[in-house]
Amino acid sequence: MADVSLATLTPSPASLSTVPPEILCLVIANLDPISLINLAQTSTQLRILISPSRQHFVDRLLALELLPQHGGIVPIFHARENKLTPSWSDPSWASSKYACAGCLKLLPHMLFDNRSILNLGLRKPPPGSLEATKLTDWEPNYGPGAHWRRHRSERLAQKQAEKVLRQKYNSAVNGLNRPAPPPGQGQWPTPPTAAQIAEDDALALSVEMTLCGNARHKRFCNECRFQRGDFAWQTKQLAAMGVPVANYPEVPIVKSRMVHLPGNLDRFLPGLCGPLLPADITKERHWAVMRSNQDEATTSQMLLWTVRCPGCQKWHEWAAFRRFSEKPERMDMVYSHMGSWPGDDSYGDWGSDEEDEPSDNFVSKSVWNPEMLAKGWAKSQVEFAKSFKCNRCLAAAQGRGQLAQQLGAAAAQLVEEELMGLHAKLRFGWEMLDKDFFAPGGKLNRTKYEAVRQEVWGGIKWRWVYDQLLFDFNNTIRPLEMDGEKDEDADIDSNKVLLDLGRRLRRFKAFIEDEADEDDREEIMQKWFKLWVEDYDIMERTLQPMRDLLDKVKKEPGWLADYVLEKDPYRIM
Amino acid sequence: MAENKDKATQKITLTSNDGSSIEVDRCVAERSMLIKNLIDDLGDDSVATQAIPIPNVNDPVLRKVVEWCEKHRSDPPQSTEEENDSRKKTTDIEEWDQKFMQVDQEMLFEIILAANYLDIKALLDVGCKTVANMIKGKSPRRSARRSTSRTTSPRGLLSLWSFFRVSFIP
Repeated sequence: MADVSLATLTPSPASLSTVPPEILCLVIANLDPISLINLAQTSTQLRILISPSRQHFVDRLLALELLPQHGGIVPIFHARENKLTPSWSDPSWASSKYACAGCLKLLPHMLFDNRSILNLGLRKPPPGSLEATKLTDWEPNYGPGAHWRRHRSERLAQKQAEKVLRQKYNSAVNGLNRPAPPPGQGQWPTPPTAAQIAEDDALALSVEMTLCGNARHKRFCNECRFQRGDFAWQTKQLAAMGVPVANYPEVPIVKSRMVHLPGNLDRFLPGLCGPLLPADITKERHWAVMRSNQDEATTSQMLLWTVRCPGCQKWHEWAAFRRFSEKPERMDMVYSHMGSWPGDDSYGDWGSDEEDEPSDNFVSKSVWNPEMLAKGWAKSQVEFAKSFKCNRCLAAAQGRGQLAQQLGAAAAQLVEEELMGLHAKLRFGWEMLDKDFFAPGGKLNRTKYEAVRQEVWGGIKWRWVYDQLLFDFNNTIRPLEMDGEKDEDADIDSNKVLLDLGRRLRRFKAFIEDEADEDDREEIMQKWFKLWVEDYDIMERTLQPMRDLLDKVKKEPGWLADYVLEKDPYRIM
Repeated sequence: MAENKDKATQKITLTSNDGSSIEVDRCVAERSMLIKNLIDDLGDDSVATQAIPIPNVNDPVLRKVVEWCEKHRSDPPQSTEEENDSRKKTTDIEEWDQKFMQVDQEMLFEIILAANYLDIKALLDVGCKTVANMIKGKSPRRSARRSTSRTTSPRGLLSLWSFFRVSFIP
């Protein structure tokens, strides 16, 4: 073995490994949480020197969630306007992940409740904020407890400062900075001026940049919260009422996002229409289906719920749960429980004495309304709640074929519902056209526009269109019935009729735009009818693909099982 | 007042370990706490007549350090409150300092060592932040390449070991 003494050592070039430890410590203290762990993993010496604690790993994870490649988007929540950018319905949320300080994982956002995502201290800090640019709080180990003693003294001072900031923030967000009106000058403060609004905006923004995300180390995913017993209140509430709840905590339900969706089809089978409908129709369909329901709105808002499957113990959106029934044609999805969630009293008679057996609304009521449980069905309710399992568990238990059959029945009902809405809208416009504009005593002068009337109305058997074509969800062609007699020779293809209707509508549009008098045009193009005229093309183009979809789910439901099973279980939306 | 101004512009000579001398204003040299304390201890007259030896720093590094001190000659001292507030700690570096630190790695660490020896806290901070910024965004493998020299340095390992022994073994 060679004799090595200190005298024979030659100074090596200056580098990170040759600088004195105190300088190394200074460098390390200037690292961000991610680099701290990276450096600790480079060599044994650095690992011993840095000796990262669990808190440092949590900090690293919290820093990683802010990187687009790991955590996806960093949404901005403007509390003053109560506005989230991007909204929950934006596709960019699909890749959004949040850090859980419990299991130390980056998890899809749907595995966290709303508070964990939106609370000032728990939300992702925006770029440039104090928390987003924070460095590690690592410091050299100066003996047991030294770090925490210093941290505690610092934290106390910080807490006081944060308290003041939070008060200012609440005042700015809620507009409480306005002075009360002088005595005798009314009850309400005067409306804020533009300068005051700008001042509140600036204050709220500055506080957000300081405090946003500073409590993220207390953010836990639903599963960690479940394991910690955060949902035990449900059990306690039920137990206090004498309900046997031994197995009840296995099915906790957590309120989730409020999303904009075009309808129940997208609510319960999200993404099903996407690949089947042309891209432009998919986009326009939302508009066509919903615009007339809600003024200036393209979609309706729907609340999502995440539920822990008692079978696989994973969290899924409520739509992934179903129960097999003895009648396969019955739609046995949670869809049937729409509107029966807590706070909705429209199902107030459920659970009453008149009911002979638990209804399908049972499971939702049983979870959220202990009073209902107290009325009866307690034991069976628990069993009923447990009988709901996610697609995967049910496929494992009952087989893929059974699942496909159930899904096919459910999907058909949802598609039919959408088709029904589409048909109703198509019919609505033609009826209006007939009743208000061309019938005797209508808004338009019949004599004046007789030529146009003939072009738009002439030679069509409207009753058949109303009763058969627009009501028939399938592509099957029914023989034309006139006055109770079947016209067997009438070889009318429903698509041809639709094309004909479209041609007539375009003629009507041309008339409205170019030929009708100004006053008549204004009289005709009122709110709903105007929407119908504008969206007719979209509705017409949507009709056929939706009919094809209905055929497909009825005839070959097997692909539906593939669709739900191949979906990432954690990818809820 | 006039006396203070005279003191600030008083010339002081610094001698590096390779024997070359650099003449600087006193206020520039006093950015180094080591030199400031030395002047306080020895008195104004002695430093006016004699060069101050800087035995641990060679000429190129000393010139770089003096260049930095010249630039920052009128900077206010850093408040202790800012130093202690860990939440407000950042690795932002002024543009001039960034350009100043665009040197090869060996020179960078020599500047840091010199700043440490001469007790110039602001320069030490800038150096450490620069190194930290170089480490940021690197994978453990790439950080390892940066942290270890091509040849293992027993001196470095020994110094680390002595530090661990002091720090971690009760």
